[in-house]
Amino acid sequence: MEKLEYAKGVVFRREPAGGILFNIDTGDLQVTEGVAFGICDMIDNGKDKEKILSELRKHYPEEQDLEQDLDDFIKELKEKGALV
Amino acid sequence: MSSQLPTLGVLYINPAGGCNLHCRHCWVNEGSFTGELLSLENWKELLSQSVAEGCSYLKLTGGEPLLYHDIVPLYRYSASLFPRIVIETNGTLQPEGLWEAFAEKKPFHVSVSLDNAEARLHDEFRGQRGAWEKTVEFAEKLVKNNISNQIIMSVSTAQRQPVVDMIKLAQQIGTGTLKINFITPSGRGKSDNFFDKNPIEDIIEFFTWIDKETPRGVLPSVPAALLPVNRLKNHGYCPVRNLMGVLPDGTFSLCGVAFSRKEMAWGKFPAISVHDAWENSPVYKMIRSSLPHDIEGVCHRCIHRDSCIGQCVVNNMETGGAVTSPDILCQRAYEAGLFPETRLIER
Repeated sequence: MEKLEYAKGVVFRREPAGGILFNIDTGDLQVTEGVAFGICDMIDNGKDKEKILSELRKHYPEEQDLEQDLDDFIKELKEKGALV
Repeated sequence: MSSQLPTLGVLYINPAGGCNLHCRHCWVNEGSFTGELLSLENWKELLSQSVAEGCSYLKLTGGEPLLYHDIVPLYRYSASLFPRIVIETNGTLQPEGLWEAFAEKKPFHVSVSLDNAEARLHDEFRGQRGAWEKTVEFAEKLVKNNISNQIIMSVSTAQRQPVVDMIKLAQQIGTGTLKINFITPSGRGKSDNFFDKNPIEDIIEFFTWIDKETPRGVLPSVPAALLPVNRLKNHGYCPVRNLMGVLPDGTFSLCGVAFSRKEMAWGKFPAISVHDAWENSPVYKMIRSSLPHDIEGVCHRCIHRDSCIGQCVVNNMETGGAVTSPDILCQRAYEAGLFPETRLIER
């Protein structure tokens, strides 16, 4: 089980058209829409990687590369300092 | 160069000593310009020095930049130095050799000012009969020559029909995007500006209508905090901390604001070099030391503070009295309970 947690100072804001990840310390701001928004929302709700993957598989049963896509997105968030 | 000194990234130059139109809202060319114009050789030297400072983005603006007597050789020289050249023009002038110079090296982007789909109303607003036809012809030529282009429409009301009509006209012309500028209470715009004329509730409703009911190519000049998330990715910000403006006589300014606010001018080229002005101008120093951290009001608490920096310093000076004053729309929205809570943070 891979626990996912936003870095200290990072807040996630939900809006009707998507979400915003904001780092209070650095001022970095990242807009998330669509699937990325959904993933960020689940991270914010404390879901681990396996639970997120399970939710994604329910919504996108035809997609073959979901796990790889999720790993790539998590890696990107870590590189940007949004995830610990 | 001090390690604290930001890069001079963007240069706005106003080469012509005025404008051939007399627009109701102009904040730059409010008074007549009486100084001596910089020569072509002076401009060339100034541009070269700017590039040596690291500058890669040049905006030719005004007044009307195409009114400058040596605009074609100035463009050619600029194009040999700068990767990105943006031109803001009223589109009523086509100096000899301009399109050939554009064909040799296309500008990065050209914006033309066109305020109404009805010729009479545009001409009244711009103070010259026949302006509309010339500007439409210029806009069509930009499209024909495959030059990245935009129409800028200036409005003082939140009426929808003029926008709908302009969208149709822009589509007929084939224009890339339609930017909507809201007339600010500066220069001649003081008497008929968008901010004082419309209640904040109507303004927010107008923005919402633009977002939901108009094509994606319609770009309202709205502070980031008042835009929905899906409009943020391509949102442009004023590069105020990395920006240097130069007036027709070589006076260093913050953008073109020193046309009307002399306290925002410092020094003159060529007596003062670009490097010296960028490093030592009290105007740029004041901007660097106060923005974005000292910005006041709702802007201080906004999550867009460090990129938006109050949307427009000139407008904030006019409406709030200081470069650190908050953006008037965001502040009014906040006071009316219409500012999105999701964009606020405790600092």
